[in-house]
Amino acid sequence: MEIFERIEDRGYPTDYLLSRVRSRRVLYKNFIAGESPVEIWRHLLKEYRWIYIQMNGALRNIFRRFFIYFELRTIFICLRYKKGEYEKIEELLRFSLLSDDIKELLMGDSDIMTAIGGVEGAFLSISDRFGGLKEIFMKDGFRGFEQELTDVYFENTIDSKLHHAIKDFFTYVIDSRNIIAVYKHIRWQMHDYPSFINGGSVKEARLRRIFERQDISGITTLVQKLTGIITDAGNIENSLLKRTTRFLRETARDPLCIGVILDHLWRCHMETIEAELIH
Amino acid sequence: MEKVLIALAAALAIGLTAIATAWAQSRIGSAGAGTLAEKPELSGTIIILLAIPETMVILGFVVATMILLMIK
Repeated sequence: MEIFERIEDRGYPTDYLLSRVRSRRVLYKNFIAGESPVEIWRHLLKEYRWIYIQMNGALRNIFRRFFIYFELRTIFICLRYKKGEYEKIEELLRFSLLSDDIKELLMGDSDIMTAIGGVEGAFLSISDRFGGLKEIFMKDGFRGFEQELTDVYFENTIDSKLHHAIKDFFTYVIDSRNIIAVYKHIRWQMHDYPSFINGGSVKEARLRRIFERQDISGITTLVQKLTGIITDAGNIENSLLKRTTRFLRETARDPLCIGVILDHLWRCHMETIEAELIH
Repeated sequence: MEKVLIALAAALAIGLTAIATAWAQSRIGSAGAGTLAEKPELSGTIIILLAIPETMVILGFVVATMILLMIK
């Protein structure tokens, strides 16, 4: 079973898309201004789908991992809605890039275990490391399943051959997730170790040491060192997101590099989240 | 032998500049098409940008002609 829908490659040159995206960057904010949260997310999915369709085969290969990462959210939400909210699932999958087989599993009458098994099967086509998701779901429920799929996806992605901009992007995201996990575990006084994702630029041993010492100031120092932004405990996530945004903006300065597209996709995502929060 | 070398020099002068122009125009053309799809009001600018690399092949042609006129 494939993860993504097969969309015909129209063979548009990369320069064509880079140029369109550069012109479009400023317009996206206007698209979503004043819209309801549902509409805002619909715009984001439409934009992502539009960009994916405009890409040629080479670009799709480069960005595939990025798009799957964003479709993980769609899969998780659909599985959670599967208990009966079919209209919401249909709405989410309208502009999704997921294959018809997966859409059928998420939308159809199949029970949750069959759907989880189908998702596992689709991800097994990427790597054997995705095996055992069904058992994890039976043991730990949705939360455990989502955590495991995301962690394995990141680790598998960072180990695969990627364009340097995409690889750096995933490294930044892994760093953010690991640091935030440590922070939450300390803040909520959880005694078990957070599950760390391998492949970030911050070593796991360092994060473990911070957790063992229950050292919130150690986290803020680490974040300050990584981002160059003086931060307090309440602003850790924000600072890490700013670090990713800044990196992508720098990558996008080269007008002939795919960083322009990556920056646009990330910017759309961030603006969507901001617009949703304001609403 | 000298005539052959002069003819080769003329061929290179026009050939290399033609390839360079073609490459530049293909990239400017595709980027221009992308820009026009989003901002049609920029068509005048795009035509000018597309014409700029044409000067390379024109100069190549002039140089090739001058080289060939040397053969006498």
